[in-house]
Amino acid sequence: MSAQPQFSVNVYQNEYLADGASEVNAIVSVQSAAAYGGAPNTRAAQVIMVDCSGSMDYPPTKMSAARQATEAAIDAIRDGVPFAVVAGTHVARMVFPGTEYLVPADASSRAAAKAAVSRLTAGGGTAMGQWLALADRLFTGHDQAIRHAILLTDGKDEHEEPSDLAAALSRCEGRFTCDCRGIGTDWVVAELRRVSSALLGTVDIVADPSRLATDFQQIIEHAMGKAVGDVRLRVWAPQGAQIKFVKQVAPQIVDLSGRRAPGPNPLTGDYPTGAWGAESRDFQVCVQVRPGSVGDEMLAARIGLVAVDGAGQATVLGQGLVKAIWSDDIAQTGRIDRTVADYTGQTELADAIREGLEARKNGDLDTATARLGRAVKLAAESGNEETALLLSKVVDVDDLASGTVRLKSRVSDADEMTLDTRSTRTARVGKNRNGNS
Amino acid sequence: MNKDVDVTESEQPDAAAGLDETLGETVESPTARPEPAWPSCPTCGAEVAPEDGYCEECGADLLVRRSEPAAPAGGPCRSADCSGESFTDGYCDVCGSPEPDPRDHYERDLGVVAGVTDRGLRHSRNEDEMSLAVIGTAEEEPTVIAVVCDGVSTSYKPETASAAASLTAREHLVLALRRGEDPQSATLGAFEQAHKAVVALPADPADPGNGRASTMVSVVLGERGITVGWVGDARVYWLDQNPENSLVLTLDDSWAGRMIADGTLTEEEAFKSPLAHTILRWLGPGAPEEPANLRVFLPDGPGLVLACSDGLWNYVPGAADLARLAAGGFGGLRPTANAMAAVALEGGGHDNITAVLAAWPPRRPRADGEPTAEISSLSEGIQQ
Repeated sequence: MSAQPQFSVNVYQNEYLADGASEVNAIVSVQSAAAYGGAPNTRAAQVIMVDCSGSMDYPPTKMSAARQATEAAIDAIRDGVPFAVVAGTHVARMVFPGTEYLVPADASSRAAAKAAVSRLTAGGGTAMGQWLALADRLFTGHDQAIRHAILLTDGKDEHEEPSDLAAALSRCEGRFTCDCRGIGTDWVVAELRRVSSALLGTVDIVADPSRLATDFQQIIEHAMGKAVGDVRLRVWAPQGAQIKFVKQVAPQIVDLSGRRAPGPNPLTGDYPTGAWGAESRDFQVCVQVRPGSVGDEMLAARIGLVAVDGAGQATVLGQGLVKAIWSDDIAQTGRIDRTVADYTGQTELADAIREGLEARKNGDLDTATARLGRAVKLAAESGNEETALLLSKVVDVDDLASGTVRLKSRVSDADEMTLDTRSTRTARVGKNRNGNS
Repeated sequence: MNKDVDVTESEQPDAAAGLDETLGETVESPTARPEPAWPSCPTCGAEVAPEDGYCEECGADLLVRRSEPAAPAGGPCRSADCSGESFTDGYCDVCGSPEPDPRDHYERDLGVVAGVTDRGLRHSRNEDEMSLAVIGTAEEEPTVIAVVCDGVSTSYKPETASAAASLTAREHLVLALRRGEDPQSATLGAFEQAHKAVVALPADPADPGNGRASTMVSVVLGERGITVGWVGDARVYWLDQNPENSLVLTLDDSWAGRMIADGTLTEEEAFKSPLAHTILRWLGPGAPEEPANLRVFLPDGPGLVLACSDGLWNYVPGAADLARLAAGGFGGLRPTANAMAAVALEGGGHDNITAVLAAWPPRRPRADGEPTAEISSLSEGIQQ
């Protein structure tokens, strides 16, 4: 692997626990700075999956936007990066090249791909598991490359069983990362989020088709900036301890707890974080240790960041220590770590939005009002203005401080889905960081 | 750091003793060396002349004996129910307990001065440190140096501050006194150098406003009496052979000390306040820039000098009580220092404990001193 970016790992926590306490919370903040000269030597591979189901023609602007966006994405692929375009319906079909392999990007392959894309038409059903399975086959043999896919859809995954999609996802996990985009308002946020979180990508709504091309271009540029492919959080916890959760909390919340894979020894587990470019991400780790008494000290967790290459060799990129020190000094044990507290608040905010919208869908308006009111209060407290703005399209705020709200009687599907998809985005917190994310 | 490599003084023939005693008797293989040999350098083993100040082979200082800092302990995990034996980043690879720390408990004995320092029961590490030295040959009365430091627990890595301060101060005292400087200016210089040493340590990278800090007391026992210097709330006591004549030689630089000193509160009232132990002076960044507190004391008769951290005197603050506890140091200074530390541990060991004892006048105590009944019964109680 060529020059790797520099990683720095910082741990934020209050390591002091009261006598008998056993839960340790910490924010592990990881920043990577691009290696000198950027990452153009890094090998990459790219697949674009475009929904071509019949509904893409209603309205026809969706299909034309998808074509345009795919062409913009093709233009953004770096020279030499193998790529392919897949048309997704109730089956998966090669658009470019005509057979199942990846073609290196150059002027002629880009032109040929764009010509093929311009001929795309809508017709058929939706079976995303099929699309993903084809993408997985296309990436075969590109084990040394950073493998990335885009999945665009406008509808529900209705032409296969949920178990088919689940099976496809479990095969694709760890094979490639996938950013998902929903166009229009007929797709299901929870379904697409399942795909994006399993494949360590993002999910977003593109309510206005005319913005899709810019979005695709950014996704590809972001993917081309990745310099390290398979990066994992390697978490050691002492014997007898229990890792309650491991979550990415910034730039968006992704619960990694269920993704643990065995590490180099029984006390260590690896959590996948996908590919990294020059970026920063924060993780929250919660460990239940055996309770100590005043004067005891314990290493509650060691959080390493490791890059695993195609041959399974791990390189340590950085490391942070999470400690527990039991004290009877309230000045020590009572101190609240702002970074931990803020992210805990933002996680609760995301939960409140999800639960509130879910209740609203199910007609449980009391719960919806209470949860979304709570969300409004938390968003205000944490300074998450973007989420506060999205919430204001779903509820009318009577009193910000107490979180007293009324559900709006008319809410556009786009506004509700935007709030739902973006509820997991967090605002950067903590010292030495600026407010924007 | 010291260049001499002896690890524990107790096992090492000290230079002054070597100069004196090995002249008449050679302990090992007398047949191989039938003639009385010259004394040898404790560092390199080369022969040296009794009047030499330095070893001509390796340059070791033959006239100064120094206590060594704690040496790496090694060994298995200190957690009772853990079988771990390997450590990474200072923690057990199995249970996460801190690696055995040589500073958890260690003892140093230079004959005329001896001390013990202990983590106690309620702190995760020992942030106290002690550095001792004895200058002079056995023919003349030695000059004894003792430094006790207590890292300020709310500061960044306080154990590094106390270690830097105590070593720096001890070395400054040794050099200054050997140059012939008077003990008072040597003491003031030692505090200045120790302060600089703590300031020079890097601050908390996560919070640059949080520097390192330590309190310190120093004692020089020489022909001109007992010279005591202090900054903070570690103390020096005079323990008279008549316990009632004992007294504390320092005045705490703490909120309670200030309140008692200016008569605002009684001792009892002052120590009830939650502010009682808030220290007003320390060594390290942000410390008030004043010369160290200084006191010279010339006792009427024999006794002991005790330098200790608040982890000891919190349990036994009274000078007379400490004198009765020390019982004249019969049985040896080191066992006595241990017995005093044990009282603090039995009382709860809430803080790190350091107790250093020096004999006045500073001459080698008789090796065959009988333990008193009081000390014996105390030791038995501790072993349980």
